[in-house]
Amino acid sequence: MSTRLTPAPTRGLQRVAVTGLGTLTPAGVGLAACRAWEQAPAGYGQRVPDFDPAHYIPSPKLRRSMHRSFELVAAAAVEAMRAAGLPNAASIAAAGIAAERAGIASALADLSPLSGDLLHVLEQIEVPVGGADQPMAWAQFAELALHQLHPFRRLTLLANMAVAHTSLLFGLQGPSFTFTSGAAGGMQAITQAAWTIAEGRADLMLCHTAESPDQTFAAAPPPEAAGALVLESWETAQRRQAPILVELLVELLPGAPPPPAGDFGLSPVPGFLAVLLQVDAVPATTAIPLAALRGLPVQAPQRRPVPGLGEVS
Amino acid sequence: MTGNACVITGAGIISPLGRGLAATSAALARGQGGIVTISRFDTSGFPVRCAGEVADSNHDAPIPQDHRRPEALARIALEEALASAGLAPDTAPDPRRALSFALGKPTLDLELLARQRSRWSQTSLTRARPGPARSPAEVLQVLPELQRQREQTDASAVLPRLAAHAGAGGERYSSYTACASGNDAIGLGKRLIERGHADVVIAGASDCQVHPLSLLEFELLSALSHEPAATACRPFDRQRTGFVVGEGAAVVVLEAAAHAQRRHAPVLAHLAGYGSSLDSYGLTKCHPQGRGAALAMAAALADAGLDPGAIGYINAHGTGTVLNDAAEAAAITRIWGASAQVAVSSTKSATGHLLTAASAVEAVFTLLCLQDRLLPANLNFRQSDPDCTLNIVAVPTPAPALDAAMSNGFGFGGQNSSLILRRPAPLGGRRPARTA
Repeated sequence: MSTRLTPAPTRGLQRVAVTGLGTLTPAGVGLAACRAWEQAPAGYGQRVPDFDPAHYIPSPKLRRSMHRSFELVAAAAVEAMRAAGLPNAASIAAAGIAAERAGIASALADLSPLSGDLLHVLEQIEVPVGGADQPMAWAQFAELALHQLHPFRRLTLLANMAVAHTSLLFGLQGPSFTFTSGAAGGMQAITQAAWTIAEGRADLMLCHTAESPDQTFAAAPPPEAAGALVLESWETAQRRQAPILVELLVELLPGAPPPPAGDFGLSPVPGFLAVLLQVDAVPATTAIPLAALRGLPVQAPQRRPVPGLGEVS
Repeated sequence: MTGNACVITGAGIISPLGRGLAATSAALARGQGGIVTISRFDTSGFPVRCAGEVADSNHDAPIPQDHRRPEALARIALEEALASAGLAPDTAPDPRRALSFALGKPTLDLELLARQRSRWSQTSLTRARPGPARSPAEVLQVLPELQRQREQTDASAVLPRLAAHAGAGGERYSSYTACASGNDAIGLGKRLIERGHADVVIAGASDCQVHPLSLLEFELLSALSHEPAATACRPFDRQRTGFVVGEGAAVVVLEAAAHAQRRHAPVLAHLAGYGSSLDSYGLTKCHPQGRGAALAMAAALADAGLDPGAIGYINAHGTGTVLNDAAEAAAITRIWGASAQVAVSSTKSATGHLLTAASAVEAVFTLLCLQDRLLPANLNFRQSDPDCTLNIVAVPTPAPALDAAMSNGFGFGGQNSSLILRRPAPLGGRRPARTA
């Protein structure tokens, strides 16, 4: 078996379409619930109500390996991909989208190493009471840890496991990024995904984010929330008659300013969900510069009708 | 189409092979190994007792051995990279200079947690295991010292400090793609240059997982070699048994070729190609035929506009695990053919696996290999494996015609990334035009 050597893209930038959105918040599933939660978050709890991972992740084996943030990411991804008319790997193949031309861009907050099994081990070891100069009982720690820590503990700490799980769920083999840039991460994921399509390096990019108080390493436990967005090349979306929500214009993105230095520990989730709500709010015949989504000043009108969607600018 | 050519004008490195480009180059030429018996903590009772440690005794100032170590290593590499690129540190932030960095997972202060357990042992995190109402926040709230450590070591705290030192006033990207992170951080930097979003990108990675908990976590995944230090890591050898954890950092200064030319910066190499892919096969096991790895290598070749035959050397991911090496060999065979003679070695045999920092450090090794036209050795390669029929470089080998080389980085979760570096064109010469 050989691997195709795809020619490097030589044409101009491809147009980028948004074809699917998905969210889960403590107000429920979907953009309407997300909007209600954003406007009055105090009226809701911390958890996504009635969340059943089996509804989204058919494989029990895959579910067993997933922690809460990864389940939420997968669920949001399924919601967005269903909205795009691509609910599973078979439908992606049937739509003529090659697995290696479909990638994933993700943004995650820092994942906590403080798991129950680790703390249980630390509760059992002998701790010298004589002060910090006395060494830890590392041999005892090793013996207990090797018997009591979950074998896949390491994997629960890796932010890119969100991508790993959704790639398994949908069979995606294309380019991939995971950003852990705090609040800026969500927009960075969407920006890089859009450019990856615009440059012809992928036909579809699934973008996602999530967080959960079970896994996020922060002193203030965040509410559960997840979001996903499906980007496609305009050509691909039109060919398969996908529901095009808006066009993203990548050209106008200048060298963007850095996020503020004080964004320590902030989650990428609110910014990501804000983008989804913006996309959801504009008419379907609209093109949005990426720069506008990032809150940057742009030279061109922020929204313009899109040729090919029934209105001509 | 996006098409600003991306060149490397500076580099810095600290690894088990030493501090700085010159020391590293000399160590690679000697075929020196940097894997040693762990000195940092008592490994009695541990099945693994060796690692690729950065020797603290070789430095002017001691490198912290705690949670601050990854940033300290990054800072050392950054300073050398800036100096070699002719860029002054701590200058006013330049909005056209961006940062793309991968920082390893900060290590957890187990001693603090153990000594202070009376403060957290009644949290629901331990009480309710595996109940539904668990939150790491409960522990952080009663252990403000741990919260402060976290605030110091999180990427969103470290990167602004690195950016300030580098004069990078543009966007800051923190990437994490497991053991592919370094390549992906550098690859993203290449894209930012090509698109015209930055003139200069400071890119790299740092990691330090020579820590009791990290070693045990990898042991639980059955990934580590238990052999004595000198021969612990044997990538592509028939008797290989696993990888060895290492630590270090590397930084490169990426620059738009025209920008480098304007300021008469030295061009160390062209960053010609970058490719990324997913296996979509398993969380810990890579695709046995190297499907995703081959996709990343093919994408990097396409990005560089090169045929496989143009690549004279591959710095393999080559961890030394049975399955990973066989899969990478299969992937290389897919691209280069069963009888291909492209030279391959894994420098993890000398450094151990630097995890998040691995591919950034190996990109700098590849840069040195191109500069010196010397192929680094795959140490401890004694016996060919029928599942890895590659042209393995067993000893440092001159390569006078070497022009282009690839460096692979693959990670848990099926992350794959490849970079292609080329020697700069000779004075007055012209590098073949990019196709993209």
